[in-house]
Amino acid sequence: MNVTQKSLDEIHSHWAIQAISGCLVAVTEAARFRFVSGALGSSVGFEFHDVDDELLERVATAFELAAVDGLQDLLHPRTDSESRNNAEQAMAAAHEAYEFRRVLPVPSDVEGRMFHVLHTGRSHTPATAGRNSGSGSRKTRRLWPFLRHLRLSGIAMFSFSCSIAG
Amino acid sequence: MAFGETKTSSDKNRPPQVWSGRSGLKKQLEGLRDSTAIKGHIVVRYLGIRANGATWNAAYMTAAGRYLANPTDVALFGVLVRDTTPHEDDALGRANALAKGCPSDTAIGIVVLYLPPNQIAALPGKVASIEGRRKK
Repeated sequence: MNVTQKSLDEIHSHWAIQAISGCLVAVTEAARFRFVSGALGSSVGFEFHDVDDELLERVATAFELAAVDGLQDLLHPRTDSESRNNAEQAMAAAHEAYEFRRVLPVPSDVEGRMFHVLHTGRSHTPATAGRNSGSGSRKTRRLWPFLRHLRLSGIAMFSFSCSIAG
Repeated sequence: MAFGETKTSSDKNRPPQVWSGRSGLKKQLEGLRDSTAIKGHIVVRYLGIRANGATWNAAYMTAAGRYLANPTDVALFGVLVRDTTPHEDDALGRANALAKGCPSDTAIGIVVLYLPPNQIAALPGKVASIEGRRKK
């Protein structure tokens, strides 16, 4: 099963996405600029109209709610077209949620960082579950920045556990 | 979308100590009033997962849609359960403080429920007794 342009377009008629439709264009553009800017670092400077992290988070939440609506059909698919549409909706919405969530700053505290990485990874997994282009290595590459944070957080959590045990 | 925090207190002081401190009712309601992180990140998503297929799904969609469009368009409730003599000083001062800086679209309600004297400590036993009768 693929994330198709059709399913990406249709997700915009979902009630949760309708609720944030007024700011969606600006937030999408800001998220794309943030992603490219983050990938290129300081070598290329961009001027763009950024948005609040809160707004990005809210848009990501809207797509996550849309994903949740079709999650059961993704996990337990039936053969009818409604089930297939719901599953496609879940994948398309999770894909979009990941696009927004990955450009949010990683929290500095250990617990927040762990939650952020697991949450972002969770959005990523259903989004790429059935993509033809989603080879293992590509998935790992896309998740690598988050996995690196998870590893650091894991070490910190392990240290914390040791200090409690000690 | 309505969010709430509940505390019980037999404290004779007015207002009772449960209003104060890091996990006090005041701090918790201020968190709900000022932070979308507490409302949006946790509660709205938590309910979203459980609303799927529930009888209250339509109500959830309306409330969550309004919340997503404007996170200050919410109702907040602080519920205080007391077993002391009723008095407005249990809540009035704190309610006035919460009203300052409250977004215009946000409604905050403070509800104080007064039980007969010394009944809070007996509540767990009464609930267990009711549950026991139901199981029979």
